[in-house]
Formats: sequence, C-alpha cells, structure tokens
Amino acid sequence: MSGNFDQQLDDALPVVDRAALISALAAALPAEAVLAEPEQLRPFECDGLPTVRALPLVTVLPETVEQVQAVVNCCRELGVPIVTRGAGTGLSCGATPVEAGVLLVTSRLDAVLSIDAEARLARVQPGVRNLAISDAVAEFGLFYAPDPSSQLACSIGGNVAENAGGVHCLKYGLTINNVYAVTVVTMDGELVEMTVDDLGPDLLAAFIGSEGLFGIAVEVTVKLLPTPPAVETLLVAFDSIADCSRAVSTTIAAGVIPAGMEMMDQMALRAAEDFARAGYPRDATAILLVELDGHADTVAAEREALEQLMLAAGATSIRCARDDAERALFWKGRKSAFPAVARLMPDYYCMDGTIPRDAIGEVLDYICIRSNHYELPVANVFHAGDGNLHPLILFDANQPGALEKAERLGADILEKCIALGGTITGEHGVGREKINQMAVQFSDAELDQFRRLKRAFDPQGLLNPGKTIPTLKRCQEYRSIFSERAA
Amino acid sequence: MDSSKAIIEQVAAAAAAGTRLSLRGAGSKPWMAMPAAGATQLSLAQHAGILQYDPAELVVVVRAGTRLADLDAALAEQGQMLAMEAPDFNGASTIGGAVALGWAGSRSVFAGGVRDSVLGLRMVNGEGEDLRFGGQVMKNVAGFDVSRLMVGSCGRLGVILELSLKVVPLPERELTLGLAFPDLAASQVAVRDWTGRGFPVSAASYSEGRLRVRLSGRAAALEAARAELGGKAEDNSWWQALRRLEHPLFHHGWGDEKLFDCNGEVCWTAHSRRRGQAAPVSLASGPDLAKAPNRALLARVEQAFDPAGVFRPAEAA
Repeated sequence: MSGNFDQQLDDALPVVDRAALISALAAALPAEAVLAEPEQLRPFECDGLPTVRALPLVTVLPETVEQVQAVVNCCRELGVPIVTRGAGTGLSCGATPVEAGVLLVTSRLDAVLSIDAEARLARVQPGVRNLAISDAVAEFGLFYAPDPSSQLACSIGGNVAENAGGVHCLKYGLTINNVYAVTVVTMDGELVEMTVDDLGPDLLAAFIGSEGLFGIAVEVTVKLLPTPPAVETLLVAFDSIADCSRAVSTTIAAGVIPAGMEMMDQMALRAAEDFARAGYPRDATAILLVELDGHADTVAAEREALEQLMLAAGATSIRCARDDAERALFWKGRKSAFPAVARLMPDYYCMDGTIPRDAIGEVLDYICIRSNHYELPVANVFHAGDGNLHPLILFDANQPGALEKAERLGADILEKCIALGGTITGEHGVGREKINQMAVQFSDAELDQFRRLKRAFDPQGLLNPGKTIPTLKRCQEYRSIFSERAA
Repeated sequence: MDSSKAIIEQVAAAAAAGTRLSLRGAGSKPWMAMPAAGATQLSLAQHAGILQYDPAELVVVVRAGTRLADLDAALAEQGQMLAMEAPDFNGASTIGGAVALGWAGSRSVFAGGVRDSVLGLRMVNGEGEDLRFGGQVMKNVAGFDVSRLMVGSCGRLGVILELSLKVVPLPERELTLGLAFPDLAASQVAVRDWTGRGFPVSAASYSEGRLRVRLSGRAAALEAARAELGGKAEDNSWWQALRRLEHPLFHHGWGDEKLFDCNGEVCWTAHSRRRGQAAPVSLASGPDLAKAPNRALLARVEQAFDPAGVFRPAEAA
C-alpha cells in the first residue's frame, strides 16, 4: 500500500477558486513574489525525495514577515492549504506541495538578523542556510552544532520543522537541543514567540519537529557553542560487521561519548572512496569514523581510551587524521556518501530508522536478508553512536515494479526498527513518506491526541494537510495489510 | 509498585463524572498545582521503580513516582547519572514532579535542561487514555514531541506514568573552585572565556562576591584547569546543597541578596526562582501559568489534552 495521497484513505482537500486565490495574493504581495505559471511551479514539485511530486496552485516567495502574514490571512479567508518549504532538501516529502494549495517558500527570508557573541545566540531568518550560521559566527570562535549532511544547502527553517540532526548529535543533540527561541506566524496571522525560558508546557519543544503543521517559523534564535580547541578524528577499520557494531556499544558502555561516531559498510565506504578519495580502506568490511573534541587534555585521554576499546573489539587498523585537511577529507567521504552511493544505480531510497545501539548487528543482518529477498542492493551509512540507521536501497525506477519493491523493503526495515524498540524516523521526519508506518508505531488514541494538538495550533487544518499524521481510515487499512503479512 | 491501572481508572472516572483531580507525587512541592475546590487527590508516589536500565544504551526507563535520590543512586552504581540536575526539594522529590515542574539545575547551561534529558514517556490524558510518546532512543522525530511538551506542564495536560531519560557517564573527577569577582557580569565573562577554551565547566554560581565553578571531566583536563584558573578548591557539596535548597539562603533568607546559578541564567532569592527573561516563580505558590506567554494558545493545548478540565487547577477554574 503506497503512502501517496489517496482520496479514499486521506482527508479530502478543499476545492479552491484558483483565480480568486491568485488575485488575492497578487494584491498582497509584490508581483515577483507570486509564481503561478506551470513552468515556474515545476522546480518546486518535490523535495529531496523526488519519487513523489505534485504541482501547487501557486508558489509564493515572501521577502518580509508581513508578507508571510498576508499570505496566511489570504489562505485562511479562502480556506486554502499552505505547505511551507525551506531549501527543499528534506527526505520525507514534508515539503512536497499540495495540489489544491499554496507553496510558501522561505528562501528570500535569508538575513542573519543579529549575533550576540556574549550570550552565544544568533537570531536568523528561516531561509538562512545551516552552514551559513556557522560561517557568520566563526569570527567569534563559535559554531552552530547540528550538522545534517545537507548543511551546505538546507535552511534553518527546515531544520526546525524537521528537528534535523547530523553527524555530531551524539554529543551536541538535535535542533531541539540547540534552539533558544522561534517566532512563528500562526494560522490566525499572528506572531507568536516561544522560548526555552517560557513558563508552562514546552510549546517550543512541541513546535520543533512539527513538520510545518503548527505554524510558519519566521525567526529562529539558535544557541552557539565555542569551537572546540582540540579535535581528533579516527578512521577505524573492521573485517566484520559484528565487531564494528560491538565496538560502538563497548565504547559508550565504557563512558567515552565521542562527538560523532559514524559507521559505513563495505558498499558504502567503497562508493564514498571512489567518489571523494577520502582515504578509506577499500578492503575493510566496515569502518567507523569517530570524532573526539574538547580540551586538549580531555581529547588526549579519550583518544587513548578509545584506541584500546577499538582494538579490544577487533579493529584491524586505526588511523588518526594528521591535520585539518585530512580530517576534512575523512568527513567529505562520509558527508558525500549519499550522492556517492547514488552513482551505483539510477535511483536510491534513503531510510531513517533508529534502534537501540545493541541491536545494530541484528538489524544489519535483517537488512541483508531482506535485501537478498527483494534482490535490491542496500548500502549502509549511519550514525552508529546514536543508533540512527540510513540504509540506502538501490533500484532502477524504470524497471517495472522496482519502486514498489524498494518501498516494500523500506517498510520492512522501518517495521523491524519498531519491533526492536526503536522508531521509524530519527531525523528526517514522517512527512508523506512514512505516513503508513505511523499506524504501526502509534495507537489510535495516540494519533488522535496528535490530531487534537494539531487543531490547537491550526483549527482549520490548513497547514501541510495530509502529512505526518495518518487518518483513522488509512491506519485501519494499513494495519489490516500489516497483520495479514505478519501472519 | 505498578499503580498505573488504578491511576488510569481514577482519571477515566473523573472525566466521566465531570469531577476534578489534584495530582500529588511525594508532596515535596505542594505549591506546584493549586487544587481546585472539591478536587480529589490522586496520589502518584507509590507508582515507583526502575523499569528498564541498560547502561550501554545511556537510557533509563522509570515510573514517575521514583524519587530522584533513588534514581541517582541506581545510576551511580553503574557509573552514570542523569544529565539534568533538577532541584530535589528536601531530598524527597520524584522524577515525575521534577519533569512536570521542568526546572533544570546547575548543570543545565552546560549539559542541557530537563527537556533535553526526556526521550519519551507514558501518560494518561484527561480522558483517561493510556498514551506513549517518544521512546528509548536519542534520535526520534516520529509524531509531535508530546514528551517534551509535558516538561513544565505542572500537571495541566495529564499524569506522567513513566519516563525514559537520557543518562550520561559520571565524570572521572569533579572539582569546585571559588574565586572572588566584583560583580556577576565579570564572573560571566570569565566563565565564558573558560568554556571557550575547552575547560569542562559543569556549573557556575555567583553569590556574595564569589564565583564558584565546578569542573567535571578527565583528571588531566581538571589539573590543567586548576593551574590556569587559580582560585581556591572548595567542597563539591556546595552543588548538592543548592540542588536540595539546603543553602542558608533558603532557610533564613538574605534580605534582598541573590544567588545566581547557571552562569547567571537562573536567579534565586529566599522566596523565588527566575530563569532568563521569564517572570520570577514564587517558592510559596509555584509557577503562575496565567502569567505564561501565549496564554490563548496554551489554553487550546490544555483543551486538546484535557477537554473535561479534570486537571484544571483552582485559579483557572
């Protein structure tokens, strides 16, 4: 059963008077901020998961907060859905347009508003790119910690919507742990500021990761951290997946918490090596990329402990980056792993389940069995330190049935993650992509609580409709298929 | 003891009968939620115990009535601790109460607050529904983050039954240094300089012209810090006294004297606690959510969890 929009299973979209909508938006916004011709809309038809596409009725590119409010007011009065899009790098169809709706793109809201180096805070507009924040504050010896692989392109507004992670979450956390405040345009057109310091239930925490269903972030105040004075990056090779998995668990159990601990299997590391010339050992069955940072004495002590732990777990070689250039190269291989693997086959599908660390070996065995069953290769690149998997399923969408098989294999992997006590998404979000698996991870009562919380923010249900929370009908349908398959 | 069934039944019965409940854990913060007139007390303290704890996963799952002191002791046996350092009133507070209040302790500015430690929970909403959100893994973005929404909710949205919490290794060593500074601002600048240079600062308080800074980490880094920072070594028990509100400030008061924790982010007086830009919270009557920002939105969120007003306190009735 596909996650694609299905009027039998999903809430019907409203009927919208397109001409009235366009004239209302044209009256409220500068002419160049409203795109309505099909060739203008085409570039926005999908996000980073291109197998699902749709054209919006209109795309708007507001340049000011007032213009965002004007769009919201138009849409509320006319009953038109709004999908918010940042840089469009998301991997779960969170920013895929709704055919009967407006696509609101935040890319022109791209100013760094203020930097308070003393308080270690930066106030930025949502369209500012993730890496641009660290670039802007580097002169103060500060950086913004969450670092998704797409950090060169992805926007902070999208990071907030998805609660984006990255390769250094193990020590520094996700977006939620690194944002001080967000100013939101709510569906009633008002500005609401939520901060970490607010009394009462943590609305800011609920907003972060709400995937565009609660409001439109128009200003984000991020927390900055001092650039660590010492960094060591180790490239550790193993000749078995089991040894590599065990090394991850024993390291954490021994009380060493690296800033990042990334794992790549042979297919992934060879593809990355061919692509980036990172210096990875092509004959290894799996590698770990481990980064330690902090005070020089701390890093030295932890490096020693870590090397002992890796050797005890069966590491076949350990290389430490000699300098920043080699460190950058080690990371380039990891951060370009997705495009590198993508060169192996015409299409790939990236999964995002998270499991308890001690189940890494078991889930990798399972992925291997299912990969053979569907005859689709799977490369594994993931955040081993926090158990966040990114299996990349390779296929050729031109082969009849291949996309369906890839989606089926992906669903099997996600459902295995749930069975092992994990979750269907660690950092990419549910969007449209994992809408069916929400019915497996959550009960009807839990999903209904989500719907009621959504209505507290958006009573008319106009923000990103059809995403993240499945309808009761879709859940019933999917669960019946799921239990048949399980039986 | 598992009291979840009885708790769920009591909430469901109150919702059906249209009556009110007032939640009570160990009673260490009786002011946290003022009960409505005629409210029945729902006692949660018996619902205690550790349900799941695998140190290699850095996660512990506990019933909400578990006392912080018991949890700390169980984690310490495995060389671990909670990253947050929530106030432990009279040494009797429960983890459920600490999360419902949401006050982070001395470590928070350097290691995250209560909400940064919460990975998931099981709760009962105002309709008596048994719900689970989040989970036992560090990274989890499936569905809305109800677990963290509950942090600071003061019992308004439901009863927390179980929590899964992030734990961290105990530091190899801890060291407290005392240094004289003419004012808070000067002490803040110094602390920022030290964290910027990578010294593992885990707490910084300022009172009576004295900065106390705690360093937690590898022995080598602490020795290097001690050599560079100067000051006088002090007893680490300062932080425990602060956490348990056993400091003289809280007993007989200092007049207008203030004690700043979290490198100035938290300001204590004998009668109140203030964090950042928020309104001060009285230690006699607790957070006044009527003064919370975004009151209209909060009211709709309360309605979404508790449509019958089972958990609505006195002042909001």
